[in-house]
Amino acid sequence: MKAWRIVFGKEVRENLRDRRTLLSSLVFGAMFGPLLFALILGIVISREADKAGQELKLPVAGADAAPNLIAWLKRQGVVVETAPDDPEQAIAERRVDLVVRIPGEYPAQWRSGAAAVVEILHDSSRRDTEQAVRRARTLLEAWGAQSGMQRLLLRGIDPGIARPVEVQLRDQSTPESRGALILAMLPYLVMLSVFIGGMYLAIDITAGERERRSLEPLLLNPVAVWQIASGKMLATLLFALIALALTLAMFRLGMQFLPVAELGVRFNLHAPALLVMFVLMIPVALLAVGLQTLTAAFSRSFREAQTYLSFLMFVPLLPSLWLAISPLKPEAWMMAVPLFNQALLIQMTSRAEIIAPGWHLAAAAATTAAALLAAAAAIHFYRRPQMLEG
Amino acid sequence: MIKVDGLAKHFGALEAVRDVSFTACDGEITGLLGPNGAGKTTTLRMITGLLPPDRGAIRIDGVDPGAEPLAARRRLGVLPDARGLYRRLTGRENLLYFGRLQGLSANECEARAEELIATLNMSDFAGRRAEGYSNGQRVKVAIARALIHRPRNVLLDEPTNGLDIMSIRALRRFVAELAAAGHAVILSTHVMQEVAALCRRIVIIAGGEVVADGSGDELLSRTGAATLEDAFVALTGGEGMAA
Repeated sequence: MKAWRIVFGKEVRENLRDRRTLLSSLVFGAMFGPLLFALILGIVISREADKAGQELKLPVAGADAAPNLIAWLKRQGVVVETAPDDPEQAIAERRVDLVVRIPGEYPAQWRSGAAAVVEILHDSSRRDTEQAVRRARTLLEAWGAQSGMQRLLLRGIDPGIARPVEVQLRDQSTPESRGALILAMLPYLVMLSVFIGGMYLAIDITAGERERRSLEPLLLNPVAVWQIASGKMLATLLFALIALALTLAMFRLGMQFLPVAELGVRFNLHAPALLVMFVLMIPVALLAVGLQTLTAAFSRSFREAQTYLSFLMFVPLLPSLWLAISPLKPEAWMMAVPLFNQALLIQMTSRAEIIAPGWHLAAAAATTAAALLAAAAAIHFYRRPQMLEG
Repeated sequence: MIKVDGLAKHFGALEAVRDVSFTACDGEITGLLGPNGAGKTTTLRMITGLLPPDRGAIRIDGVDPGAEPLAARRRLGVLPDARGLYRRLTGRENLLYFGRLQGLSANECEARAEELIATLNMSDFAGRRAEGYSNGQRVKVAIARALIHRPRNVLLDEPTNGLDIMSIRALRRFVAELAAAGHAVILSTHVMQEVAALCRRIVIIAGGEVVADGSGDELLSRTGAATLEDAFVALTGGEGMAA
């Protein structure tokens, strides 16, 4: 039997007996992404539901001065309340979200055809009231526009004259692409699973083996160093891939329980898309394992390796963050950038976009090349005499 | 047989080994004696091919570990200073893992492991996981692991470190048997009694150099000391260095 297979078999067997590995690789690695995703999605859904469903309560000061406006507001479903006597104070003390104040001059201004002032008192530093302020403002402006048009009509003028341009928004997003806005973080969460899945093992069988003082005896066997290092990296890869498979399965499951339909969006997280993602991610897992083993090999201790590898988890965050913040048009050259290419492809897959032929292969080739480079560097570090002492 | 000629190795500005030459013959226990930091472990690591020497030649049964490291290692059984076991594997599984890496077939491996478990009296704990082992049990497994492939040459670095007196005596007997069976054994230690009890030849290393090489009697007559301990102190340059 080839030596790397002996090493691989032993590492897998030994780590399957370790509750810490199983907990950190498989349970934590597989659950973290989907749980975070479900949590955020859950918050977004409940917020959207709140906004749409809640009735607007509007404290109005001086309501007697504008009976038409008040009647109109009530017809729009607004609950008009009496404002407190000290509106400024009440807002500062958070007793009310906002107050609409109709000044005493309002009736005179209205009758004379001058611009009648209506005030909205609010605190722009309070983010939780933004929604209510925006709704109140939109309603008051709509009332103003409507009254203006009536005045023009009374004077026999086409209201269109006062509106030389009418802007209309026509949303071209498909349900999938609206969902993908929320899915922008999916590439990161999927990538995170392989980084978490392999992390504990990469540390344990490199820096950990040295710290437990069994590395020197191991290297004294008549076996080439690359075989030992490869066996260890392949064992790490296996755990990373199991974590990935579990993560994708969790996403599939989670989508059935979350009321995503309420968002009016559809996610393409069906089995075939997930299978494509799994295959897409194999080179990423390879790269993660290579980088982690390399880092663990040059770390001087278990603790140091843990610290470095925690930082390493932010590496897959960068391309995904980039995609989430500044959406860009996918182009062929991007397939040559490791991690970024797969993040892009995962995003496109989740949006059910058409991917040009050859892109999958190009991305796999680029990331695999980077992974082999990292693995070669890890083997190089294994060969250094410092490897024995840390 | 292990032949070492003019070995030198430095780490940065530190000259760990300056000039070490000796021969360990088949059927003999050669004691490598020296204070801590004298260069013993570095010398052993060069013999096993883990460290490339700056200068000098090494032959293990005629094989140069620099040119053919794998062939040289097949001829060596080494108990290094680092003797950690895999805690989540049983003692027996620890042996089998190294046996397979030495290139033994699964059957050979198991037969040889049982043989060593019997010889070293390990049968009551070989089936348990190594995480609960005592110091003595750990050393036994580490020695058995080093000998699983029946190496011609055996290197033992401080084998009795941390053992109780019963285990030490059993170990000495075992090492004497190895030599009697025709193996070349190198015993590296800083413990005088170890060498006096076992070794026909004593190589004393101090400051990275061989300062004496001969039988115990030769060392006594050369230094004019009454005991081996006095001879050792005289040869290694006084009590200040031996600390």
